[in-house]
Amino acid sequence: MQEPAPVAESDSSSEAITAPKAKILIVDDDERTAMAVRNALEQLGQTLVVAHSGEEALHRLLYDDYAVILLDVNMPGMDGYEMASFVRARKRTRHIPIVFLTALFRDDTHLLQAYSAGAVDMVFKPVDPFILRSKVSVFVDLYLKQAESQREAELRHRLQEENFRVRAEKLTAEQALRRSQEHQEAMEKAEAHQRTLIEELNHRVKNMLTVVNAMARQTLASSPSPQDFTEKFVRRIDALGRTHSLLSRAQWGSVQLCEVARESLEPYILEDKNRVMLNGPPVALDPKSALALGMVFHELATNAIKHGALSNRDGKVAMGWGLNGDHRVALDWQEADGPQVSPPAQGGFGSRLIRLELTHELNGEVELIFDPCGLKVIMSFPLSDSSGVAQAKQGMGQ
Amino acid sequence: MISGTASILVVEDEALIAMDLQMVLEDAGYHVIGPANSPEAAMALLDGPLPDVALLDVNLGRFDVFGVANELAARKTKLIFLTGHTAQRLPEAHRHRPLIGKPYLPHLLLQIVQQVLSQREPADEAAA
Repeated sequence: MQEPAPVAESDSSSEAITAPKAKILIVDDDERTAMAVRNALEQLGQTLVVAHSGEEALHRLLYDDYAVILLDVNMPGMDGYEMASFVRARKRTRHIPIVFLTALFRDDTHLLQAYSAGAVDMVFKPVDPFILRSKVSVFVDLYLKQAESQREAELRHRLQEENFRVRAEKLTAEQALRRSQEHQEAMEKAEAHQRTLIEELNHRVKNMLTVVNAMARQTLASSPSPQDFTEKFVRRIDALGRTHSLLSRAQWGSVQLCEVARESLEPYILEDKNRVMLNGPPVALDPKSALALGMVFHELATNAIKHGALSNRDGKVAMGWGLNGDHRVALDWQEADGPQVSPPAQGGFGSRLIRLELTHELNGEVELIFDPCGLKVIMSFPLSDSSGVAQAKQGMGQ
Repeated sequence: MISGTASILVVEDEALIAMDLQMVLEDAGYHVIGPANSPEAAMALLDGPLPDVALLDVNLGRFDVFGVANELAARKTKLIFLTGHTAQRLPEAHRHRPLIGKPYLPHLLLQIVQQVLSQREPADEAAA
């Protein structure tokens, strides 16, 4: 007896979960009738609630929903008709079918009164269990079907809401993913940009070291003594450094020709600014051209100080430039009032460098005129942008 | 061939470096063709007698030297590349050729020039 009990319990509990029950309210002041009704309805397997007065029944109706009310007509205090009118008057209970239980008055007047009070059916006492069960089971089925369809509607509604929620979440997640992808791409782009910058910097440094090496070897080849080498080398590196500083301040964009000239000539014209006259319109130079011209100006100035117009007290230098329509710069260096000039026996490093910077670096031309009254250097070169375009065209044609 | 009369085409856009390469090579007895400062200038020099070796700076301002390199390779000229880039990768067709990093040491540069000159056949023919 004890062993199967848990199985049966678990069965009934699982049944309680799967099959919802309807509540049946039995209202009768007579305990025997209430018991008889109870016994008749027990096999329906629904929940049976007994109230012994109209007041108790109304109280029960406040808290629960019922499939059907079995109502005794004749009760002390509130009778069945009064109770039925209360049930019909309340919105929450209006729909509950009422079946009257009555032992008396099987006449038509009484029946009419019962139906007009809201009865949907009548059962006569003594109660026939079969008839009662049949009638009540109809209302129970109806109630359960309604409850079922209501539950289904609710479930459908919940599923729909769930569906909306999931779709909204998916959309949010997709947006977040897209944002994070965009962020990732931006980061990768920034990193790639940084790598390019570092590689470019490395390249510049290596190139500059190569230039310094070349400068050392070339200066050494034309220096008669270590002292002479050191002085020339250090000054040339200093001149390179000055143009670099200028470009650095301009963030390696363009710089003005007159700035490059002032920066390169500054160490030589500190004492008397009137000895070197600069005159020309604004000309923007790219870094490559600026570095090349810086070296040219430096070589011209050192030569003037050593052999030319700046080697005595009265000599003067005039540097003038102009810009032609075809983006070509014409630049003249003219020395005057210096010692008499005689052409050098052979081109030294300085004049070779001047020629090479103009032709090789600036794609321009240069002429050195050793006029006895003063050195004259006539230079011209295209501005890098126009020359760059021309080179690009030919480069693509190859 | 290995004697000082070999001719070397120099392509380098930086004036001072070009001047230095020329001096280093000429002091070693080589005949220098150029130096050319751009792909265009280098191509113009190919109309004359072909060099025994070409010493090519990879980056020429806005351009690279590979157009010239391909042209020279097609004419069976031996090539040596020069670069300031630390992670420079040569195109597939030239990856087997010597690459000298800047700044260069003159004696090492001359050593590589000599090695390349002493190779009997162009490297790509040997590979094919």
